[in-house]
Amino acid sequence: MVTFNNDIDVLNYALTLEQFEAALYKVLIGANLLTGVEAQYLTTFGAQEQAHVDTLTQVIGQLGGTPVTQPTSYNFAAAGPITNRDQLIAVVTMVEDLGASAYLGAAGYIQSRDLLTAAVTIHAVEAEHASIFRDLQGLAPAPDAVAKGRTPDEVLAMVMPFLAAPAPTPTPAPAPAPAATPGSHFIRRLGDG
Amino acid sequence: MEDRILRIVHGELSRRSLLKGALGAAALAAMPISSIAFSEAQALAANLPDDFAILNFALTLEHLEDVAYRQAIASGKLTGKNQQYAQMFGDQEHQHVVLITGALQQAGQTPVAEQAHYNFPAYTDEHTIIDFLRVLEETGVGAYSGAAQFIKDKGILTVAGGIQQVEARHTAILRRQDGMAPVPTAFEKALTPDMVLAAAGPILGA
Repeated sequence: MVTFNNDIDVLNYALTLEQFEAALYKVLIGANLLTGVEAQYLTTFGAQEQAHVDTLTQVIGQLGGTPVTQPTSYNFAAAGPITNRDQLIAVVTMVEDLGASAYLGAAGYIQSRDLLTAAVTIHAVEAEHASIFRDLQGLAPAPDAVAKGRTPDEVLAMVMPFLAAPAPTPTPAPAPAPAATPGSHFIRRLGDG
Repeated sequence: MEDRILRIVHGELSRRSLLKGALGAAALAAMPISSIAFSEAQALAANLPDDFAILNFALTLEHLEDVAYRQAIASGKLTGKNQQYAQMFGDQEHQHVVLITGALQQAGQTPVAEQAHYNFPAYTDEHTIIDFLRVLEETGVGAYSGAAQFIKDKGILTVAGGIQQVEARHTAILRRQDGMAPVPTAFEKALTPDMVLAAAGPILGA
């Protein structure tokens, strides 16, 4: 069960998700599957996720904490095939909806009033991103009158497949001692205490 | 003064009767209505003493949005997607009113009531209406964001956050319908209660 010992832990939880989002956007932009205004949304929103990464990293440092290191790679294949516009938008929608629910579910853990204010300003933007992408698929921008948060455990369960290393190609040689998988620091950190 | 502010928030005094007591009839007559609303609103804004006051503050805005949407739909001026969004979002704003009203009543508090009149802009055309609704939603997100740090009860914080998120979703769509970038900044600005009341005061009127 994920527990937070302090605000730095909560911020690092948010940073882990933002790093993932920022990396996902870069990959999706590189896929060149969108055009026109939709492509512009991807670029703009991706830059905003990177701004979240940068700000959270800075704040954690200012508070005397150590920002989580971004994994060197993610297993984006866990999202399924992303070969066309519809698939891409479905994936980014899922991630943004997840991000919004994660911030909402984490708000109650934040002790500092200033950090809570900062978190809700980011929370709103994740929701705005989700809203636009949902609408592009013909989905209701706001599925519920009152949005539901997800607990850190629920969020972790959904994000884990992307943090795991991709399945290794089978070789006849004996498997080497397993190295730390990308994101294992995240699991250890959130699992501490 | 503080007690009087609490009583406004708890819906126990009309603005008029409060102002008469505070300022005297002559002063009241001499001042334009809108500035009276501002000064009273600013006094109110300086004091959000507890979660129920914050909920009534939020409910004041939700009523405003609820009625704005209702009148927007009734105007017959909205077309196509604008009409669909107004119906969808307006219904959700009404649900916010019902939820917060119910929560306050259950807690033995007096919820602020919907006003008989609001100073809306004239709903002359679709663009004016969408622009106004956009401003209301933007103000709503900012209001919830600015109030969050003052909420003591974690359950109320979660509900307020859940409502704030929906206001944000509405805001993005309405900005786009209003010809603006749907998400102009990486951080959606939190508004202090002062700033919210500066924006909403004229609409709420006296």
